[in-house]
Amino acid sequence: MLGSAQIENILRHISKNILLYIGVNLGEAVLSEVDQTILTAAGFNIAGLGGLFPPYYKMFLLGRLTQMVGDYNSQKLDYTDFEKYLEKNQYQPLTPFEEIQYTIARKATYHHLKNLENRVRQEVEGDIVNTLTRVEYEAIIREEIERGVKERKSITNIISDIG
Amino acid sequence: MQQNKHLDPPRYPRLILPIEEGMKRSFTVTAKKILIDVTKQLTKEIKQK
Repeated sequence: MLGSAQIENILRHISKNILLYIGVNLGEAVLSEVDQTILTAAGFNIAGLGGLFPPYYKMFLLGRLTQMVGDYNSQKLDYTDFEKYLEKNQYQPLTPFEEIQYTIARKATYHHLKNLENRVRQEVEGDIVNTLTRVEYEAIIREEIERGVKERKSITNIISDIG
Repeated sequence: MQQNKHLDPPRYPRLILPIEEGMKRSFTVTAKKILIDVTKQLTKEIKQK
């Protein structure tokens, strides 16, 4: 049976990958100190993770832009127009209220993804423990049956020996 | 009958889809990486046992 340290080594890969997804899509600022330590320990440079415009921020700015220019003009916009709008810094900085809205939304998404990380970890841990336990039990049963056949034991005695 | 908003087509498909698709693709890559990394580490730990 694997020890808790070995299982943690396995589960760490789940955290590492999900945290990397969070960092790239939501930006490094949303990562907690513990998250940052995990990623740094895994060999990642977290500075600037997600770039200047992480996808989540882009979505927020896009929502704001479409609200400002209206439905009619938004329908005529192409994605490259939006990219140029960001690159050329044509957008207004977020107002303090928008900043709060963005931070709250990003934090909520971060918590959803962290819950997903925990669920995946729990399921994988459960599967590993169940499978390894079953393999160990099967090995014991096989061993006892083989011994029982050699020693011409009855089924009842074999079962009794397995305990 | 009330329509499910999530099933409605996006109002600005040319704008939203590239970002959404990028995030979805990134998630698929993450899930595959988890599968590969966990399997590799599990094999390593069992061999070392």
